Order: sequence, then structure tokens, then C-alpha cells
Amino acid sequence: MLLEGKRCIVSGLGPGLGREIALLFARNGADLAIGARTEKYLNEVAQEIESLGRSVVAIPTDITDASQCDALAQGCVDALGGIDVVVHNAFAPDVFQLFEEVDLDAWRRIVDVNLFGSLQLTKSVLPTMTAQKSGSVVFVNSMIVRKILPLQGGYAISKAALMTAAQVLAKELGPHGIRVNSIVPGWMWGPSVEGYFKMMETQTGKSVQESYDEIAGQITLGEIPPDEDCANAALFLASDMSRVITGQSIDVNGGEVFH
Amino acid sequence: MADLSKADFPSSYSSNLLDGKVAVVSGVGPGLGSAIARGLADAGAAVVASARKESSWAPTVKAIETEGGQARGINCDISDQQQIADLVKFTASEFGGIDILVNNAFTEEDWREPFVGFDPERWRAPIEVNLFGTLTLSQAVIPYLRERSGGSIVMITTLSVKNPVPLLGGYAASKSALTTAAQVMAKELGCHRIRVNCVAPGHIKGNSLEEYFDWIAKQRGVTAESVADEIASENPLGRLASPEEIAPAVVFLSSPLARMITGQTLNVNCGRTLG
Repeated sequence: MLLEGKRCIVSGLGPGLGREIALLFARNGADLAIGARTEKYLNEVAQEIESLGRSVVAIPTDITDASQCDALAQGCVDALGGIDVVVHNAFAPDVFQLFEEVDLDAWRRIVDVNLFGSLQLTKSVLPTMTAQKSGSVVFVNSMIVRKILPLQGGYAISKAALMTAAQVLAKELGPHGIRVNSIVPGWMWGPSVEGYFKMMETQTGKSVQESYDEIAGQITLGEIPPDEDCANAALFLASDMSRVITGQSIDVNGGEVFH
Repeated sequence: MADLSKADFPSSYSSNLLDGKVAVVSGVGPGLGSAIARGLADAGAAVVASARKESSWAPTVKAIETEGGQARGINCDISDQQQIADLVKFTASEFGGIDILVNNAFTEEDWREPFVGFDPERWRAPIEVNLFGTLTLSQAVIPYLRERSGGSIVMITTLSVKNPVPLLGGYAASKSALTTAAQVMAKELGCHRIRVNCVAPGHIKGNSLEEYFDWIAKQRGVTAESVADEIASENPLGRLASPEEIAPAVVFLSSPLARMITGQTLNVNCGRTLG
């Protein structure tokens, strides 16, 4: 039970990684405060957490809204008594346009969510963690910062900025006993990617298996890492197992890229 | 000497993280190697601890057995191919196979000896031991990992890969080369589900570090304590790590929690370097 008694905020609960993280944390003894924009996902995951015997508070949250970030943090304190961990899973995907065509306002929006939203929520938990003189902040980054692909410029720059932000925060918040680290997933096998492959199948006729095999072929371990494996890295960083680790990033990509 | 029976491991792991696994650890003395061996055992692995002398590994084996774990020890100088072959055969015969290797054994050139100008001969020993010795041991273990349909190799590297220290260039270069070797191995062995990763500690609390701080203190005409404080204050976490706090990173990478992690380096140094 790696998170016995830990009070953890997880943002961006959906059908994929956020849910996996929340449930994994619950199975490891944590109590949860979960935030997302879509209440349906929040309620479903909250029920799953409760059936695991853990406490949970679910608060609809848009991380670009400072007062909603504050409400999520406060909700965690009110329900659970403190904040030991925050995992920033909420993100905005790219608009998939080339730089020369894109309206930069679309990129501003992605940066606003991925960078400033994550920082906003961190600011909201900071007073509590500082008073506790302890806390673990985990950012969810992306292999896009290791391996640039066209059509994802907005996402890439937002995550690159977020990576540097994690390091700045590690430096500044270390003296308060707060650790700040990042997980860096690559391709993740889960509902989102499977859904994307299914969509490609209807559009191009390429089967889900073919798409899977094409991606797995460029991965050293020959498998697209399931969501759960990325969640495990977040578990490690949230727990005392990593208590002398800060300012670092853990790449969970099956060996597609080495860092 | 440290009281090894009271391991100060941060929180308890799932004690079944490494149930049923067999681990080999090289370079088990009173410091990090011991903490790694004890950490792996604490997580459920059967451990073979090795070092050049029995007096180095014996206390660790005893401590593990006292805690109810399974451990054996055997002498192994990783620059000796026969001793490597013996270590591997011994492990397989005692525990039935090998799932995990932690390459902790190392040497460094004598940092107390300043020199003028660059002497390549100073680098031969660290490169021969840290790079080639480690690779030889890794090669010997691979057939056993393949027999178990996969496994994990962890190289203990060093902060010096990023921040080399004057007078320890051979050590730093050997560990940099080892890091690249780990990535090559990760790439080549991935198809056999053998993962290869590195843990890079910074300064580690213990006797060796105290000697090092004493030496710096004498050079500068200050107290060893002020040297330690200065170095600790440069870390975001404001302190240095103990061997027992570094070992969990090795346990993590050796475990199913890291099933999809290979070719990576984890810097475990209280934030001294960022990235």
C-alpha cells in the first residue's frame, strides 16, 4: 500500500489515464479529490473509488478558472484534511494544424490549459502543502517533447513549457519540502487511442490491429504501454519511494525514446 | 558500522512487489549496495549479494535473513570472468534462475592524488571495471533472464555523468559510457522483454562521503561539517540522500511497476540536477 492515508487530487478524470491513476491510488490506500469538466466521468469514477473502500470528493473543475482550482483544493482539504499529492492529468489536445495555417489563438488556448491550468491548480494547493512542509506534485507531460511530430506544435510547446515549469517549481518549492516531477507517457493503449484507431478504420479502412502493430513496431518492447503502466510511474512519484527525487521526469514509452 | 537490522526504508512497499523474483546485486558493502539488496529482499525477492570480499557482503546477507528474507552471498570481482561465471551459476543453483540484476560494483581512480596534465592511464581501471566488468556480468546474466521470459537490469551510474568532478574524470567517463551501453542493451534486448535502466545517485550519506568531505575540508581549511552543509544547501530538498532512500528507485525499476520503462535514467539526487 504505497499511498496509505495520502490525500490526492487528480485532475482531468476521463475514460483514460486520469481514471487509471485515481483507481490505482485508491487501491494503494489513498483518498481522492477528483476534478474534471465532465460530471459523468467524475461520478462514475467516484463510485468506483467508493467501492474500493476509499473516501472521495468529486468537484467539477475547469483548470483554466482560478476560482475553480481553489475550490478543488479547498474541497480536498475540507473532505480529507489536507493535500499530499496532486496529479495534473487535465490537458487540451492539439488542433492538428500546421504552423503556417494555424490561428495562433488556438495555440494560446492549448498553452492556457496545459501550462497555465496546471500551474493554476498547483498554486491553489500550494498554501496547504507549504503549511504541511510536504507534498508531491506530478505533472503529466508527453513524449512529444522528446520526439517532435508535425501538426502538434501547440501541444508540443505547451508541454515543453510545462516541463521547464516543473523544474522551476522543483527548485523553488524544494525548500518547502514539496517535490515536483513529471511522467512522460508516449503512446498509451487505452480508450482514447483505441477510439482514435477505430475512427481511422472508418475513415481509411486501416484496421485497429494494423494501426496498433504499426505503432508497436517502433516501440522497443513491442507493445503500446497500457494506461496502467503510466499510472504506475505516477504512483511511484506520488509515494515516499521517491522521496529524494525531485525535478525529474520518468519516460514510460516502452523504450520508444530514451531519456 | 551501520546497524543493518533497522533498515530505514521510506514507507513499506507492497511487500509483494518482487515476490518470486531472484535478484543479483554486485558491489554489496556497507553502503548503497547493501541498501539495494535489503530493499529488493524487503519487496519479496530472493537476493544473491556479491562483493570482492565476504566481509563486505556477509552482514547484508545476515540482515536480510534476520528480517525473514532469503539471501545468499558469494565473492565476485567483476573484472574476473571466472568469478562472474561462478556468481551466475551459484545464483541459478541456489534460487533456480535470475530475474533481476543490479550492477552496483564500481571503482574510481584515487581522487586523493592530484596530477598535472592528463594521464590516460588513470582512466583504465575505472573503464575496465565500471564499463567492461559491468558489461561482462550483464552478458552472463542475459541467458538466465531469457529463460524467465524477461527481466530487469539496473545500472547504478552517477551524478558525475552530468556534473563530472575534477580528478574523477575516468569514473565519470566510465559511467557515461555505461549509460549509453544501457541504452544499446535496452534497444537490443527489448524483444526478449529484458529492460535496462540506470539509477544515478548524487552524494550518498555514509563513510565514503565523510572521507571525501574531510579531504575537501582539509584542502580548504574549513570544517567537514561546513562542506557537507554547503553541498546539501545546493540541493532543492536541502539535504543529501541516505542509501535506504535511493534503493526504492532501484526496486521500482526492477519491478512490474516499471514494466514499460526501458532505456531510461532516473536521477536520484534531491534535485541537484533537474531534467
